[in-house]
Amino acid sequence: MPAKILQVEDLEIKYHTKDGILTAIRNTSFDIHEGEIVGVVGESGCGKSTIASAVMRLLPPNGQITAGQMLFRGQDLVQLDEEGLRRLRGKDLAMIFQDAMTSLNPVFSIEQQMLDAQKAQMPGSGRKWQRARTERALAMLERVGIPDAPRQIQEYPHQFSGGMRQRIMIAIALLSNPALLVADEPTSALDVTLEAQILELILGLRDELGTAILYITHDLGVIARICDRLIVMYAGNIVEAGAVLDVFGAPKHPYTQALLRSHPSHSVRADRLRTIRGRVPSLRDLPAGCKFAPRCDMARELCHTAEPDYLPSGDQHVLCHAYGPAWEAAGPTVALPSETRKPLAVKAAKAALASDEVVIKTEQVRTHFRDHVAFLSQILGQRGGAVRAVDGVDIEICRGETLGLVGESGSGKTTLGRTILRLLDPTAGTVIIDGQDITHIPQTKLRPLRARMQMIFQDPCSSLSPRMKMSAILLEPFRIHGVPVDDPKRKVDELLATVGLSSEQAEKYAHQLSGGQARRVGIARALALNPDILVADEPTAGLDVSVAAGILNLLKDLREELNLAYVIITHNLNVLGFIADRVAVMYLGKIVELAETEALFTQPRHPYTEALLSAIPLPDPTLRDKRQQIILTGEIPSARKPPPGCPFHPRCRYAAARCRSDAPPLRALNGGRHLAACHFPERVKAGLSAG
Amino acid sequence: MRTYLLKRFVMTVLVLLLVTIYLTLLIHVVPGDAAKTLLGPRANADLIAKTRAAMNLDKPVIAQVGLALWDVLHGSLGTDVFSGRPLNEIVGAALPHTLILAWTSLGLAVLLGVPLGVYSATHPDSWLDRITAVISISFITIPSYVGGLFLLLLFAVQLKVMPAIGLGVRGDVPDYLRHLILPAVALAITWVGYLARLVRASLLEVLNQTYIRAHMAAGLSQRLIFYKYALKNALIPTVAVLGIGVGNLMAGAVFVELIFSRPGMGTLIYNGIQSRNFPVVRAGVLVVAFLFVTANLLADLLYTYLDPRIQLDKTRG
Repeated sequence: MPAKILQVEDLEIKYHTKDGILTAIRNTSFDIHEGEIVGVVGESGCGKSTIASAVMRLLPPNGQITAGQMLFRGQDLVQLDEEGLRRLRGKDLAMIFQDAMTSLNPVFSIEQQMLDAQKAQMPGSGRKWQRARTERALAMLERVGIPDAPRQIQEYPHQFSGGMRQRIMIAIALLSNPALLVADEPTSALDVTLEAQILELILGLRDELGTAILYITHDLGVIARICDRLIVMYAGNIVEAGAVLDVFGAPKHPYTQALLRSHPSHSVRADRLRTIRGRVPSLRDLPAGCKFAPRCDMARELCHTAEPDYLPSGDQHVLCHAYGPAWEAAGPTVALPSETRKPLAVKAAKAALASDEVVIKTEQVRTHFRDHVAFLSQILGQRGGAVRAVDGVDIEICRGETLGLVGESGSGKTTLGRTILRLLDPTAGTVIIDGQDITHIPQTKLRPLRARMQMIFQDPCSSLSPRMKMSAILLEPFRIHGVPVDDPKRKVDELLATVGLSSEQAEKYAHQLSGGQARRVGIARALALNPDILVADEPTAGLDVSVAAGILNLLKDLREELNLAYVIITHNLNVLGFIADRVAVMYLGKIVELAETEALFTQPRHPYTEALLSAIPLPDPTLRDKRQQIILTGEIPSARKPPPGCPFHPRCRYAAARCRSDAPPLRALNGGRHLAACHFPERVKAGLSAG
Repeated sequence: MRTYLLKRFVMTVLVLLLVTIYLTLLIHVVPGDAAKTLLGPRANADLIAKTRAAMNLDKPVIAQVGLALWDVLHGSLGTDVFSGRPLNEIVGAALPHTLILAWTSLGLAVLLGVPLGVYSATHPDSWLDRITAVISISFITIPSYVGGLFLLLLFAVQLKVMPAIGLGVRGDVPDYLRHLILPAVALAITWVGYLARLVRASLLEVLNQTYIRAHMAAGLSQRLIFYKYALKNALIPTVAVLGIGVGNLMAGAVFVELIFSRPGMGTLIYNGIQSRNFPVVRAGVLVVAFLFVTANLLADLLYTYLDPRIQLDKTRG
């Protein structure tokens, strides 16, 4: 076994906050060996990022390491002063961050940032050194896949896409060939296709440079794909640690088991997604005993009173009484309150109306964003181009049906969703809601219709006014549409109950809610006026898997109870596997494949769908070598200048000469309801294995 | 870039023409006949008529506006009614003193305010930061004329270490500079406090950004991070405020020039208003408006240098 490069022992980290001193990390110990990738996983608030910052000694000013040591090649990082740390950071330790959009300095060129980043390691100031630094920077950029590096290095961060920025960030981090790289959710903000590219890059660099990596993520699928060992964190403790194959093969801790169960890929076409009850406790009021006991179905009396010790269980380490000597005498299992939401009985009559009645229909809808050309420039003869965000889309959605819209960022899916609701005016084509053409009707006539078609916005927090209580937010739709409410308080309670929230939430402001709760309020507001159509934009983005599973279950229940027509917009095919009846795959403003969910998942007919399916990280490390992964090269082109012929051909592995000149129409295959826009649909391989 | 500069040039000309129209109309809004007030109670009718003619006041209002615009378009500011000298010459003599005063104050404000702000931001809640906060806020609340009087009384009258009034001996540069110190400090003092607060706030925000953590993770020295990577970001909002601030500085300069009896645009405009010498007022205000517009243009150009994300001649959405 290679030598240990980092040994963390009994680490304790506290934060000084206005609520007093909170302990974020408690007696935490782990090792990283040379060239090894160790994953740290857990829900938000479990201390993953604190660990990452602590290893770099980049904790926020109010954070403090209060006990323990971190031996990096025998040198204790906890004892190092600022100067010693600085020398280490430039050379042996490096870090990459979650959001590549904000982790590059916007006002300095890539070259300046890369040259200065090497100063700690190559401090010489002569011309020779200067050239050596530039050469190293260019070589690194080329290695991470930045095309035309000598020219691109002069550019500024905003001139790159999110995926490219993350590559540049990795290039900067690896300039000094560090022994340990700390990666804090480096792919969480990226599309699955880009995530697959970046993971591949990280794996390749590890193999090539032998860098040990501490990889923080909330996605067990990512861990399964790239990590050698994993650490599961819960409420500031490591609750389970071990080799990836062992832990995934036989997870021991109830929390690990629950996390794995709630991963959406396990539930493709299942009836309900598994969730974890409750949520991560706040550091302010941690439960006595095992921190996970209040959410644990197998917790016994002992679990609620005494903290478990760190128990080795074979090669796996588990922090759970169930594997300890006291389990037999641990008392009876403590029953936990049920969390199920009461189904709505009132609307049952409406639900019986399920039919083939088309409620949303678009015909050749196009939404283009014209460039803004200033008045004077117009006089000077400048013409603007246009971003063809939606470029000729036909869809039909029936009452009680869910259509999933999926594609990478920039595919036009959100624009299509907004155009359907006429939050954006289409450039051409028609939008028909319930048989009524709404494409050109004036706002005054549109307003009464708005009550019947609602949107759940992507960012729940910014779509709820920070200055309004939830009760006011939920009553606003009634006020706007002049609908009298007999008993406002009862109405608010009713709406909150509909989405599984208690009536206490009515008196809260947006910042007092968790991400999942805010999302639920957004849904409740959309449901207030009893709509027929609901467009949900990324309803689970940014949520922990278990919370996301709860939201998806809720959406599914509501559809059945209220007989809604749904459009669910997402970049995550996993989400659609569970909830959608049909899936439309969008690429550069066009639908490239439209089929029933089952058919699309088992036998995709467009190479883009095939690649999207293949890019989903599955929480099964045994698939790592078996599963042939298709990694799309490059990124989605600009919708300003789509490629000629089939828009997908530059990234397609099956592309032939014909694809470069002829755009394939969306046509029915096998005579059925499976549509695909590809010249060679029969070449596309099977998708996910069923189940 | 060229399109942008052309656009800004057209805008500047439009602003100046509008100011001219406004100033010409102003004569008719102010109560009393301008020529009569100008000449005083003992002037005879003949002289009044002559002066009215010299000021174009005998013509219809629309013609007055037209003539004024015609002058401005030809780069002429008009003629002083009293002396008959072209105003270009008079303004030309006063302007350099005001420019020197304003830019010296601005320089002082930046030289003192920015480091003070950086220090406060990099040592938040230290006792020096708190003292800086108190000093800054008290500086902000001191208008230039109060500060000016105070400095004058303390350093010139009580301590007698500084000259009190005037520009100093003609041609003697060190003497000129000695006479510049008190007025420049009086004018700068508000801005020192203001800039310090502004730089502190925006720098604190910048220091919280992920890219600063990324710079630290890359092992850059604190000094490099603070003074190069963070400060350039933090200066962007500061420059925006400074662009507007130059106009403020001009207004302040009027008071300071009066207090220190310095010739300059402030004194010129003040005397013009006192004597209802409207051509002088018009010329003075027009030049100040021009300076204001130019300062804003400079600030915007500085912006593009600081922030590559801003493209001035951007034609695409």
